[in-house]
Amino acid sequence: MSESEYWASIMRRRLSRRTLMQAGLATGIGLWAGSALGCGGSQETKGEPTPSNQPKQGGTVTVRADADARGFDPHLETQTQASIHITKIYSGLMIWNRDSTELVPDLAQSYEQPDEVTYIFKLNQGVKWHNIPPVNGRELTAEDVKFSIERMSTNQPGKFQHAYYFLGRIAKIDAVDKYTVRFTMNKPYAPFMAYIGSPWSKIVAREAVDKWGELTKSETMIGTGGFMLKSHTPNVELVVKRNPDYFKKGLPYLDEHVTRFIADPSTVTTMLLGGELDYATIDSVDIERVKKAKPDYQIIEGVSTNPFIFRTPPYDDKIPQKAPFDNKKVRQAILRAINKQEYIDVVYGGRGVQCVGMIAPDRQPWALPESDQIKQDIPKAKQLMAEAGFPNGFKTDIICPNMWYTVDCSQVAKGQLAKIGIDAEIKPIEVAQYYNVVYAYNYNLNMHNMTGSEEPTDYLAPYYGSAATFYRWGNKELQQKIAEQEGIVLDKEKRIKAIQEIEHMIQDEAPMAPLFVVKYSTFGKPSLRNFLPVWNNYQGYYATELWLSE
Amino acid sequence: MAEQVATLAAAEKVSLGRQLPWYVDVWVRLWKEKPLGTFGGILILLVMLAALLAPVVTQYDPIVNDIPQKLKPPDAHHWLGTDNFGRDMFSRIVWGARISLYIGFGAVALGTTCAVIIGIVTGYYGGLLDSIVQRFVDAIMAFPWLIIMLTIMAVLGPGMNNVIIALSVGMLAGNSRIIRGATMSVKANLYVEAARCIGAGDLRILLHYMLPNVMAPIIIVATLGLGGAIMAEASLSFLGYGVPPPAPSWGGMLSGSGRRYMLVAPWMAVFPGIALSMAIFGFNMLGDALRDLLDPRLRSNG
Amino acid sequence: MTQYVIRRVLLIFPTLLIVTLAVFSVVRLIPGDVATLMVSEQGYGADVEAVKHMLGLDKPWHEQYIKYMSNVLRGDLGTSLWSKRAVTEELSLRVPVSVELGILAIGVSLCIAIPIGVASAIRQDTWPDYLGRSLAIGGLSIPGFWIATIILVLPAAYFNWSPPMKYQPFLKDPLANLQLFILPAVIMGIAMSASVMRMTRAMMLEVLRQDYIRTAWAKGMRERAVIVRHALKNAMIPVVTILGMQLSLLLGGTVIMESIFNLPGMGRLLIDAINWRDYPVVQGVNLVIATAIVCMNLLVDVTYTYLDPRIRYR
Repeated sequence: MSESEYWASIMRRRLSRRTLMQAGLATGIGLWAGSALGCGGSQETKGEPTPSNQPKQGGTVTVRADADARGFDPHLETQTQASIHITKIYSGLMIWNRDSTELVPDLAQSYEQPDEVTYIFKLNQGVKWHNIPPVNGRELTAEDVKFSIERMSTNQPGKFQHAYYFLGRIAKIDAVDKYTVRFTMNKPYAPFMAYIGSPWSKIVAREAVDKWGELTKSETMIGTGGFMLKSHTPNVELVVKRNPDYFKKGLPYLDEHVTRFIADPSTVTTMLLGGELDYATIDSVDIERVKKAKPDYQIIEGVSTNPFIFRTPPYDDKIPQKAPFDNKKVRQAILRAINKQEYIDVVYGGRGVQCVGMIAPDRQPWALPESDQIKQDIPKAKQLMAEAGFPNGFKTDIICPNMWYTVDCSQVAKGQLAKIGIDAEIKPIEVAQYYNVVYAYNYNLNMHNMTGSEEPTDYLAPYYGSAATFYRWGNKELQQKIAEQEGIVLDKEKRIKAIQEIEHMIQDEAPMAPLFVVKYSTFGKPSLRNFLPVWNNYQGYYATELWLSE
Repeated sequence: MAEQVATLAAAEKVSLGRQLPWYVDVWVRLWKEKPLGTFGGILILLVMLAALLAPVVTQYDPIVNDIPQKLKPPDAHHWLGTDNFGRDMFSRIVWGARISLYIGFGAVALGTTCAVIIGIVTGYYGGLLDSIVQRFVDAIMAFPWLIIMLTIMAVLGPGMNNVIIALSVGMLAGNSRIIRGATMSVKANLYVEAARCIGAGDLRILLHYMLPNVMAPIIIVATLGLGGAIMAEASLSFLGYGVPPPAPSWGGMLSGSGRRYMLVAPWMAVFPGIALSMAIFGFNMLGDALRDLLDPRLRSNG
Repeated sequence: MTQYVIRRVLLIFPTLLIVTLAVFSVVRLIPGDVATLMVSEQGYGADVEAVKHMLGLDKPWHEQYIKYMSNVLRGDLGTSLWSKRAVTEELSLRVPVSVELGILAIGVSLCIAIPIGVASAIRQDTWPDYLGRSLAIGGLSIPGFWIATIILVLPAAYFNWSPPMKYQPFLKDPLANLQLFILPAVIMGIAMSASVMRMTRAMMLEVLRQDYIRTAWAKGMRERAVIVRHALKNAMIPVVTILGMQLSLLLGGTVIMESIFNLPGMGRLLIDAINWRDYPVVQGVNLVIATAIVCMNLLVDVTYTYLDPRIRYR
């Protein structure tokens, strides 16, 4: 992962309840255009937009992305640098709410699930594609949905990176009538709804695909979303403008939304202070300074859902476990040598949340509770090392991608492991080679930052499932349990129990230590309303609800 | 005629030796005539002393974390403050001298040796060998040094020795040209032809006549190269390809966490920057002074 | 003279051939696979071999090389493996940025170096000489990215001011464009001025000792006339060589400034392409840079010969 991807991937949003309610209220008011609840001149405290202000039309907001996207095709891309634009321009059947806790309808007006394997979506009527050739503003139908989901499930490895969502899982898709789509699964598949709401499961137009094949270039972005592409200066900025025919009447409020590509975090701070950016997420080191310099700026805090994890080498049928990490006691010793809070304090100045299990702490209700945390216990760790036959420790090395955050975390880990006698050398590896090394299972210890999502399976199956490739844990029982929980569709409580059982098994096996997630602060101009922290996949979508009070 | 006699006389002085051998004489003249160069030399001496006496002068371990002490400003216990892992900056900077000197001397030794071999051999033999090798040298020089170094680091992987290899490749092409030029000038001298007439073999000529007379450009190139190597290591660190942590390399301290904590803990970046600048400044000044002293004396026509 | 020029021009081609071979092979020697990188994004790895085939990377090297060279000679530098844009298109956006930065930096370095070099030579071994040289070498010794960080960070912290960071092409908005370029150009120029200053000073020193200068003094010419009319012109000749070398150093050395000041130039394109193993882009950029440098060296050599008839090349 490049630094860009790091900043891209760490941002998932999670607002405080209060802000969520007000945002929801403001959205509701905005949508019900015409109701004048406003009273002028509200006195606002920091971070709490008063719901009684009526959203104003117009204005331009400038935000930052750390890099330009490599491509813009929703079915091919995976990086957040792409999704922030894709979610502005394209629409999907469903979308995650601002809190990422619940799916809400987007293109779909409603949906029902008559049984475990059937999902029926009723689409909004009168949804128009952007008025750009070759689609030319025609209406969106169920055929478009069928076409898009089938396209994204194309079995072309390396290209259609999200095919694993639905490939082999959907028995058939029926366009029952112009505005109704029915999905029938092969067997019960719990992640289905989450994947339908993914930022990549967007509906694309057949005419565009027929004309261009891959929709990689920015000019090929023709969707049904609230914004249309205005201009794209590669590696400088991407500007979108309001879609006058957006099916959610009244939205978006802004005339234009500008994303500028700036790689260096200290440059971002400089630009925010200089007023060139309207809102931006600030590096933890600079937060106090920005607070002092801009006391009137609003602050939103959120928690990332991309954990840092510290891994021992994987294994499968072909590649055996690597000594001394094949000894369960060694792994458990390492797990107990680790002090997770220290990582947060040293690398992010205390702004973070410790992980308990594999699933990021903010993904409720799936994540393990704090009470299940395995705390640092040096005496126990030393005892385990002695029992394993290494009373004096051993020498090893830690590989990590060559990014400052993983390198710094590795330095913390080195210090902690030294306490139980493990002398670890740090080897930062260039990102492109890192994946090769990891893929070959050819390392000792590894400091990694993983990408999560709203779907709990995405924290488990890529590592412990039977289809895992980049990291694979050969414990067959675990693999089977993971496959099973995917089938629990209707009974949420049952699924939660199954997942927590899996997490406890993982804690016992101790193949990796889930460390922490970053807590970040986004600063915004006082006149901004409804802004989401930058750097989550759906930032683009919620830009439609963004407005300026002056 | 008079010119040639003078040249012979000068050459004689070199090959037959004088009262004070020239390599000692240089330092005496440096002290007497070149205050800037002397200043540079003193700076270098400081750096070398720091490298030598590191265990004696420092009381903290430069690579072991001490997290409760992190980000402390300079005070009585930590003269230059601590970094984000609680490590004492003064200790890190003093120990860092070792790394900078190791990398600098290593890169220059390797690079200059290769440059000398290539330069002297192609300059002396000329002809087809020279043409072919020069095409390769041209090709290497056609690449910006940063690209060459990045590519080599990408191929070799992280590590101090790999940094040395990368740096030496970067400097060998251009320096070989300089040495080649000097070799060709020396070759044109009478005494070389005279030696051949006596029946001296190629190897003897190369070692006894060419090498000593080409020493001056070699020394100059080496001294300036030291400054360049240290700076290049800092640049590599900035791009993420330098010496891996927790090694206290000055370039690494400047680039990574130093930049990030610039406003919160400026001592993390300022002091290594001063150390780095001092070392590079010193090598450059010394190299310049040496060039002033050595070049005119031994320069032959052409 | 023409014979010399023709010979030099012909010698370019073997050099360029070696350059393309080097560019082509080295980038593939770097471990780390573009195909693996492409499938690495998701946790469920896919078939790396399939991706390789799709990208045409599973054919033997010499086949790939021949195909590549035949395309190059037709003006097609390939397509980026990631962005699917033509390499020439990517370059056309980036080259003006780096070139502008380079020209401005050289301009700055000349403005600093030549006056200091001349003054140092005239007043050799006096305080102005020492001061000037210390400043120039000081500029060389202080890492550019360090200065740049301080310059950017301090005003932002204390005065809430930052220079505008948005790139505007020069033709569109010259003022905004120059505002962005001036800082990195000055920082780079200061670093580069040292070598030019050294060379200027050395050449001036040598020239000033020549007989014709003494004649000019004896004739009673004023100092300034002597310097400008006689000394400077002759001293400048080798400076031209140095400039040529500087330009080559420049083309790759802009990476760091481009990162800090957010300039979409060739250096960053190259580094990103190396990181992502975008072979066509790496090859294309290296080819363009190397060709430019080789041609520049030729130009410098020819100019040198033209300017100074005393120089003879074997």
